[in-house]
Amino acid sequence: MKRTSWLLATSFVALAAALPVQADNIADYTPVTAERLAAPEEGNWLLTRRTYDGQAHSPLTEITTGNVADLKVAWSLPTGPYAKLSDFAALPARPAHQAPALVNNGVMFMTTPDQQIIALDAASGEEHWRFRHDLPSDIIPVHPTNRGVALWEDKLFMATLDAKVVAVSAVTGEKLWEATMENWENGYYSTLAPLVVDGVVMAGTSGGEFGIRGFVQGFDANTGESLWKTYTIPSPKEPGGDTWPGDTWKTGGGSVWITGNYDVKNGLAMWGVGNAAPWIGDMRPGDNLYTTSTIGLDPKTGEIKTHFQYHPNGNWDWDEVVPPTLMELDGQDLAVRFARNGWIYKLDRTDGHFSFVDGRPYVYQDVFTELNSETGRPSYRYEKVAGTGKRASFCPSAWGGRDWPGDAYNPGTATLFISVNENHCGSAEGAVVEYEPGVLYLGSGLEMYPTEDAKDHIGALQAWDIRTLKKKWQVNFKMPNWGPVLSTEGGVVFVGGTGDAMFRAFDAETGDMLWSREMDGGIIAPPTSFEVDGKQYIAVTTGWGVDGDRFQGFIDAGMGTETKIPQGGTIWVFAL
Amino acid sequence: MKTWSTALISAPALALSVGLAGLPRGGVAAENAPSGDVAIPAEVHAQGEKLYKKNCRFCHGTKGTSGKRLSGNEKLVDADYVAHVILVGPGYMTPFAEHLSDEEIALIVTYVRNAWGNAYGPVAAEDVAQLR
Repeated sequence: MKRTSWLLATSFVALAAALPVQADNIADYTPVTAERLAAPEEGNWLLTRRTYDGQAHSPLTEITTGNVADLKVAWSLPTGPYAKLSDFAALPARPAHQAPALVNNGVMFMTTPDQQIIALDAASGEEHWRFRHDLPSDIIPVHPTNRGVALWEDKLFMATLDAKVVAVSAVTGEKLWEATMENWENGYYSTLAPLVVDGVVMAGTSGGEFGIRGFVQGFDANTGESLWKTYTIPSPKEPGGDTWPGDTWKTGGGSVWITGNYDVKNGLAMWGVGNAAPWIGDMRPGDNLYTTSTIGLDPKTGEIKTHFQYHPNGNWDWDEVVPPTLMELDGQDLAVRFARNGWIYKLDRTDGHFSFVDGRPYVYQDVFTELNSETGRPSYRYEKVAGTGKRASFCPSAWGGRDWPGDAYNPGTATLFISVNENHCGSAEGAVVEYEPGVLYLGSGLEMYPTEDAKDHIGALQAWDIRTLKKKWQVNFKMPNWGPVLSTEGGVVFVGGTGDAMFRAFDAETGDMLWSREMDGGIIAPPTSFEVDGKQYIAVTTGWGVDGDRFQGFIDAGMGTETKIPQGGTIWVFAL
Repeated sequence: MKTWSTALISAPALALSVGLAGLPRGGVAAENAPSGDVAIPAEVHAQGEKLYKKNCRFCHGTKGTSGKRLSGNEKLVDADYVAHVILVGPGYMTPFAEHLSDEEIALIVTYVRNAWGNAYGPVAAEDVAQLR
């Protein structure tokens, strides 16, 4: 094992000093090509959601509904020691592990909230090398997390909390190049994993809450040269610019903080765009394109080819950053999104343009009266729309029916599995806010409360038939569910996500729980599945914090409870 | 607490201060002090401002107009409430109880209660300590 003495050290200084010494080059690393990303081998997990269509479905079949009860720990590894994230007196949130274990022919890559990349032997947990990106000491990470790396040829790419993209050698762990997307001091920061298509590394930044102007940027994978930068908020001279009054477009939010999917057939990278800034809609009258939308752009040029907006002039902090899950069903190319606003959207994308097919709520939502049957545009109940000096309550709360945790789709059964939270509502009242670079730019407070029904459950795992848009089953959890979902061809669905730190396996057809294990911490990282030497593994990393923690804090305040959720911070790998 | 007194800031806080020794009881009309009927020594104001900018600015802004608005916020009249909020961090706010001393919190509370046109007077470290 390469994780020798320095792993025992608790000093951050010891970590920094030890890093270069521990490099163990990977001699036989398999380059990641365009062909492999478009059609990955069954035993590999090369993208955050495994495939460009974002289905998070493993074709492996060794683990089945009949034997998953025999799942055992193959190996585990704490991801620390960690570097100090900031000199700021009090971190705004507990750092969270939100990265999937990517696996390329027996080599696993994991990232940590303190901006480390760890390369490991996927079958044994033996470390090859670690890389750490140093952050400015005075940074204040409001969402201290990282959602993983992107793979291309013999390189890895990580987006960082100081709004950079860093390229690292997959073989040695050495930094190859670093590119600055924006000045972190103005509120820009990155938590997502980049997306690579044909040698173009795409990434964006968070920071809508600080009044950034969101974008997706493309870089040359070999050099780090910026190839294009497409703003999610158009200027007045661009299409959609007339949906922003005055100078509001300059500080309009529209952050990009979840990895996009890629429509291979139409050559479109599908990126989700966050909500507008400030949060209250009457401060920026208009539709505010392309906030709360999915944009489909050309990875070569960054040109926006199509878009679909889920709710114009957003007012509820419902980011719509998760890209649609893409599938072909009955000869139709679809993009299906469970929006944070609480509705399902079934979109056609056959000709490379989004068109609305169908929609319905998947949790209780009291803001929309309907979706227009032709366009999918919602109509609002006026009393559910807060304004400057006008208070309004709405369901679900700002955290939505689902937040960022990814869904999974089994193409064989046309079933989509998703973690949701319901029985929570919020309220807001707008107050005039001045823009100041790097300072919160919300225009309202953030209030959330559990409803009476929350005593029964808040979290749930739902299974939906995408052909009919009918729910097949739902499993309720008393606690909120923040778990990204893994679907497998063996008919087993894996999910963590609850504050009791359980990792569970369910029968994909019935929702019956088949296996569970209490972990060392809550799970908000995506589970993945891979194969080495003919053996199927399930990997997941514990590490509770950030929004899962904040959400629980509001639930506790509303219910008069005090919930202690163990943080964890360990890679766990299971096998039969 | 409308009258300035060195007794309202604890000895450790005074030790942090620059040039406070020899201040006459009842305070001085400090340069750049906020308007109103309360005068906070410029040194105390500056220390509070420095701590505020380091710990509070990114939410509340340089002018106290972001996040939960502090400029013109009538809730600042209740010093115990303000100190309590900093200690426990309700809602989305970060709790600072484990990270800032009583003296530091007193300086921040004093600053926000007397900046941007607010004029609610100083707060003592002892007052903060009683809230822990």
